[in-house]
Amino acid sequence: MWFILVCFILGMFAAYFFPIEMPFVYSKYMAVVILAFADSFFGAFKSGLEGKFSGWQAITGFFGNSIVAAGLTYTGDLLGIDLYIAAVILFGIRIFNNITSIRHLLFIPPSSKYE
Amino acid sequence: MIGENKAHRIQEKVIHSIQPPKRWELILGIIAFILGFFIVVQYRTQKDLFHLIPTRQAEEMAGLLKEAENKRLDLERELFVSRQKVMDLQSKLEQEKSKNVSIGEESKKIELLAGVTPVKGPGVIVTVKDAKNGQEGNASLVHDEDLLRIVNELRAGGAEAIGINDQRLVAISEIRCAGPVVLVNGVRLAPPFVIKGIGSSEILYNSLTMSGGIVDYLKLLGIRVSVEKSDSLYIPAFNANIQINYATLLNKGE
Repeated sequence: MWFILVCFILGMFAAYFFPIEMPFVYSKYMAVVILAFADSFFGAFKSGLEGKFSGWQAITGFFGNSIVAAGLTYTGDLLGIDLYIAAVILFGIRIFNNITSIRHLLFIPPSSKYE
Repeated sequence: MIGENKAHRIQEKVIHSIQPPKRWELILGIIAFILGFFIVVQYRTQKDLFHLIPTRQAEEMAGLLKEAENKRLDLERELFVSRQKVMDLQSKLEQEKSKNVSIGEESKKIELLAGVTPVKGPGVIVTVKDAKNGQEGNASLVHDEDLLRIVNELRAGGAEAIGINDQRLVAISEIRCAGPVVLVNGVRLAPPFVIKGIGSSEILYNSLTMSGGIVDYLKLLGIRVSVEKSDSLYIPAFNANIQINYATLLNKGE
């Protein structure tokens, strides 16, 4: 657990000290890709806590989600529809669901579970 | 005892949580690293560049920019055309101006020759007086003929303007005797006669004073003649009213 948190903070620091800037045009794609990453992250986290973690699934989900999200955004741009909103809503809902599950798994002792 | 137990449990938990990461935690750690990295990069992009302008507005603005650019190009083209027009007009104006200048020069010449304006310039002053008293005879007086010959000599020497006692000689000026006086432009003039001629003072002086010339001749008659060169002479304008009743102007070539 602490390892994941440390990795997250390390990543932020790395970005902070590396002067990388995205071209403004891609900022929308970047945002969607970040959401996809977050979704995969929380999904994998949840399955890890449940003991159902599959590394293959996590990595394919990680890349697959971001590619699909970016592709969706690009298609939306081509067609003149804000398709990325679909990705944003879907990922948002899933992140919330996953976080709820994680909270249940982490903080509610098994004895007080309703089931 | 209960507190001890609790402390023990917390200690156990801490020890449990500080154990080395499992495999899934390692993979998640890598994902977390990338996620954190991307979040900060994205944050910086949004903050640094257009964090006040949503993407859509930026796109619209880009469209506006393109339009403005096109407009600018159009205007530049227009400006180019207008500049060329201005240049054309300017060259035309120059031509007109040069025409006008030549007209002005011509009219100046005509004015000068017609004597309607006062003139100044270098030339000679010829003063003619009657012979001293005691020398009798008609010849000792200054006659209109004498003045005419002087004027003729001045003209031959290239005088551009001639005045006798401030009467400007023009094309219709007369010089004739009227008893004891001389009439010029209908004005009676009495000796001494001061004849001013504007032209090359050297040529005028020489043509008047050459041996056997008019000055010699007049001196022979006893008439007192003096010729002076001058750098700056003033001859007033012909100020009588000219009436032309018989001559009509014909255009050139008619």
